[in-house]
Amino acid sequence: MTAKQTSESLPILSSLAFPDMLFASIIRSRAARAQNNLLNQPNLPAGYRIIAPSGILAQGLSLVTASGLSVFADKEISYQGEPLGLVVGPDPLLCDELAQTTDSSFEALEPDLGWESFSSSQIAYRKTLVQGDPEKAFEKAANVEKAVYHNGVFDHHYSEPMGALAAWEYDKMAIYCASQWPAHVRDSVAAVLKVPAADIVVKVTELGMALDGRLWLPSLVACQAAIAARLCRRPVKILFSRKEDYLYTSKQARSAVTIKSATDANGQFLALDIKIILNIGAYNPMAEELVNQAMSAITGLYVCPSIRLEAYAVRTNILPLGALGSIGSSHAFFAIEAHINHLASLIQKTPAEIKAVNIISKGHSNFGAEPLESEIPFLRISRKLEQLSDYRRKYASYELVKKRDPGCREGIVRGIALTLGYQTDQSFFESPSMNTYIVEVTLDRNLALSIDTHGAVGSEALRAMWKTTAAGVLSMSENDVHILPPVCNSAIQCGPMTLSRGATIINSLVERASRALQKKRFRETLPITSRAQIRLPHRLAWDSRSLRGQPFSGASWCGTAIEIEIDPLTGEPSPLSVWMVIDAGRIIVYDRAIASLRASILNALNLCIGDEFDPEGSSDDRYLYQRQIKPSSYPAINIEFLESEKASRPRGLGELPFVTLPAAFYSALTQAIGVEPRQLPLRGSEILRLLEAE
Amino acid sequence: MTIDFVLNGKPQKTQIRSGDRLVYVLQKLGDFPSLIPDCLGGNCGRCLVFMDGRLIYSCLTPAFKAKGSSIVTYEGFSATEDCKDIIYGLKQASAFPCNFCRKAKIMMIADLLKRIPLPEETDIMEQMSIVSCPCTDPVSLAKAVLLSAECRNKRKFKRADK
Amino acid sequence: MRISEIFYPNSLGDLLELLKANPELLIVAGGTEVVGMQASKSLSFPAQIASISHLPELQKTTRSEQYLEVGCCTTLSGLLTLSSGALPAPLPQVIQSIGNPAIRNTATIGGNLCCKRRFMDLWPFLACIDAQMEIRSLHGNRWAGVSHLSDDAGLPQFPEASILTRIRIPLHAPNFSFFKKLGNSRFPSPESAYFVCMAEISHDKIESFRLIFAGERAFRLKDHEATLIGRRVPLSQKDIQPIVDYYSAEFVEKTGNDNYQFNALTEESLGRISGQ
Ligand SMILES: Cc1cc2nc3c(=O)[nH]c(=O)nc-3n(C[C@H](O)[C@H](O)[C@H](O)COP(=O)(O)OP(=O)(O)OC[C@H]3O[C@@H](n4cnc5c(N)ncnc54)[C@H](O)[C@@H]3O)c2cc1C
Ligand code: FES
Ligand code: FES
Repeated sequence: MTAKQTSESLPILSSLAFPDMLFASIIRSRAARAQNNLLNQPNLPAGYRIIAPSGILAQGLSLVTASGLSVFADKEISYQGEPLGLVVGPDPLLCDELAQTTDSSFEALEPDLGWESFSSSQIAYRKTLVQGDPEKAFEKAANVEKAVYHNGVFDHHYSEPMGALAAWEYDKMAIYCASQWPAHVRDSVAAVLKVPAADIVVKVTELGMALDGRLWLPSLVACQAAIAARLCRRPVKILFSRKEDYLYTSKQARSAVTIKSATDANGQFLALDIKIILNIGAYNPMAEELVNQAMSAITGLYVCPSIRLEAYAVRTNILPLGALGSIGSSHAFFAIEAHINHLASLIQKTPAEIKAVNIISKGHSNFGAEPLESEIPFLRISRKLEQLSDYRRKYASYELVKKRDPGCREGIVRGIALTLGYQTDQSFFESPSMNTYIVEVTLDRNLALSIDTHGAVGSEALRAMWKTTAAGVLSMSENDVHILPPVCNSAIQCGPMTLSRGATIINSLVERASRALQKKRFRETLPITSRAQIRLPHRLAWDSRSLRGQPFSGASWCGTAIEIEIDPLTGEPSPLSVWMVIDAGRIIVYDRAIASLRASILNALNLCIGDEFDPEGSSDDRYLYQRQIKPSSYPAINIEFLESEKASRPRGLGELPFVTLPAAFYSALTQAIGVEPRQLPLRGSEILRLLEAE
Repeated sequence: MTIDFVLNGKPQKTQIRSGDRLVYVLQKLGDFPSLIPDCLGGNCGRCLVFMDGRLIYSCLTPAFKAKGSSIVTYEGFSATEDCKDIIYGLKQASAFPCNFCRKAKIMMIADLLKRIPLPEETDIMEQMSIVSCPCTDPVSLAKAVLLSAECRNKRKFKRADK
Repeated sequence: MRISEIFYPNSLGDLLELLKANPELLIVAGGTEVVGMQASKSLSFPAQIASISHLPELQKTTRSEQYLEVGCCTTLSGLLTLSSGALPAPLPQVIQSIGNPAIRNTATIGGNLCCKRRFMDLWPFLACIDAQMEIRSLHGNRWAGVSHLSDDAGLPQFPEASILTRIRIPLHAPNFSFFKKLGNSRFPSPESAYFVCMAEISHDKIESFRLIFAGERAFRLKDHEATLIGRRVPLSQKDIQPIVDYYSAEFVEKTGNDNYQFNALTEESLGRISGQ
């Protein structure tokens, strides 16, 4: 790649090739849990070799990354499909066949699959917080309700399957892979090769819609490719088949959230006792962030004088599970919204009324955080949303239908719901290196501007926005602004690009760097470079250990409404329309923002009616039988931005559909069928069974 | 065994095995960046080719079925005016797809416009199911198809006029 | 990779000879089903394969006043491009629900009917409208209803060393039809199925009645269908309920599946026959 190549045309791994390149396929474990694993060494054709842990250690390399991840399982196996070694050779098809026929001998152990009740050895991370006196509040309260809400496991359906290519470029090892966190890749590879980080260059390939699933896993695959390249002294590419990607890459964590609430007659919370359990599979280096995000989201929007919060990341012997579209918060939003629905049905109020009495307002806070500085625009959002979606009329008429026809025999089974949510750019990452971001802009002799950032995002809308911002500040044409492909090669640490960060952080850095350049322009000789760097004030804004601070600074707010219809004959729910009203500050490229939100909404719908992954299943047919939403049944989508906020600074919006849509969908489903299923997703036959039971 | 077929207008004679998928055989015959075998199941569309004029998934096609056929890949199609119309439509609608699916989507649109020169929204949505992509905004893509159709029809219409 | 022997018969006669010599021979028409089932990079097939889609005699379409006769290798797209009205009313809709346009460009009607591991989408329709198929072997050819592709237990069956060559689709379909596709997986899965109910109603009387549910297994109660003939419509809810109950109990017993969707569909179709 040349320096001129811009990230509008990021390379794809599938098409990258180097002279003498070899391919590697991963040998995977067949056991879910085992000890004394020993890879069998079959006879291989000439030109093929097996790379196994013993050989790697013998060559003085490491099996463990800087963040403690194992590149290959050695003696102990913790999930079915865990990488045990590689088959490397010139023909990728043959490598695949050989990897599939290579097995290992091991002593099988009983896998830990239970997660809702678990042993202490399964706890990867745990946190408890208490405010007020929940026990006393529960004793006194008249209305106490308790329910458990479940969320399924989902695949990310990446644009390009997981993979990495390692090759030498001069004296450095270049790693090509689609990672949201290139610095993590660099440090991981440096640790396993036992070389300085400066010897590794990471070049990001097309990320597509990564949905926070490409935060740490690409680093593992990059290490595998790098080890193979080092041992074979040739460039090596690993590219998962789509089936392998589906069966073995990490997915959205499974969750069970138990909420016990004490409320007064108006539905106002007096006490909440919440237990969040996230099944993270065999391991997840981001377990702590998942738990913190989920904890902050579950009470974030609502105030309550007495709260007990307990959250666990629990290990089981299934593939690693973690983030999808939001790190932990969608589970929490789903559960609390579902619980509010439940309360609404008990006290004959609408869910919107219950939310209104509980919603956090200016001057209030939870857990002793600083009081909220300004009013959250929820009232304006929900008014606009109600008007757009005709919520009140539809809600009332569907309620009437339900009362008249409880078994849904008349045919029209519809529901509408409205959910509020937010995303922040606040960091839950402890280490300062994860909160540092840098942007460099250079005006060259041809008066073309290049933007250089480690911030790797797959969203073309975000990249377009950065260009528009720079072009606006420097009064130049967008055609003369180029974004360099994200390359991570310096010693500076750079944080991960989660869905929430592209707009807020990188865009403001582009703006700052461009302003600095503007000042130097016409004074200094070309080329002129200026740089902007930020280290997010993590502890100042929001301390994830104590949950103190201003959790909502830099937040975008939204309301999402969805209207769904249940086919009374098959029970299949289908979304008819989705409306979103958003306050995400200034929208720089309006059409692109809308287009990328529409795509995100369709992705988020997958979490409601799409394919639920069965992590305990052992049959590969799971791959063939994935459920799909056909384009012909996409809902109508209507998105509006709040007018008055157009002047403020731009804020992130990519996560908003993921945090709000499942909750809204669930509520609409509950209204439609008149039963609370307390889980998502649900298949048609299950919905019919619930209706029948009703 | 050896089979003969025509690839992008050039006769080919190639050795295949019974278990070869057509897409891998084509990849070995030349540089076809449009062929990115991915799902191997008629879902992603990264292997679309025209076989005897019909759009097919070359991953779902056993190589032995190519015997005697005429195959056109994106590389063969890209020189045509039809292809230029589609690229124009995609750019105008700001719906330019990523490197991973661009060629597949162009082939998908080409097939639609060949069959239905003025497609309706339902035709477009139906055709969209040929290429899966998690990041498409269907509205922009539909706009791109209509713009491509307009451009194509104008060109063909003008030519017919002369 | 196991290497299989590939045959390209020059004629139907050749193909029948081949079938006789190799009873295990795998016929590949469009190949979408036999390949779609496999997710690995290399495909594996039985020891002998015959590719048949190039044979012109298996692609012919003819039409009489009573029926349309299509060769087994007619693609689903090919069927859809027949002039409008060439297919009985619900068939174009059913074909359009199969896969997507690129799958239908390759998938054939014969392959759809002859799938060995389950019933695909066209079978329940064609069985309901009494479509006929020509089965050929070296012993000769015979015509039979496509319903014979299901055995008594509701599993797919196909005579050995034979090939399905032509399908006769009656142009007149019963005047009542109700159908629903179940499941939305990208490849037909254990939960995919088609429910079809067709009836001829004349002078407020049921003249003929068919109800088929077909997925991994086929479910049809032929004897019970006969008992409905001659009944007056509209059927009252009192008439309908016992029929639904009977079907429902038999469905659970014969297929081992839960019956929530089946019951709702059966009730709906009977309700619709009655104009309710
Ligand atoms: C992505 C995808 C989606 C699909 N969706 C659907 C769907 O929605 N509905 C649906 O019904 N199907 C679906 N299918 C399955 C399949 O495409 C169709 O059923 C198709 O019609 C099969 O035809 P074919 O010619 O490709 O069959 P092939 O794969 O060639 O053959 C199928 C079977 O029939 C046998 N056979 C074929 N022709 C004959 C003959 N003339 N005589 C005797 N035996 C014969 C073969 O030996 C084989 O066992 C899908 C497939 C894919 C890959
Ligand atoms: S590789 Fe052929 S459709 Fe995906
Ligand atoms: S995969 Fe290319 S735009 Fe979605």
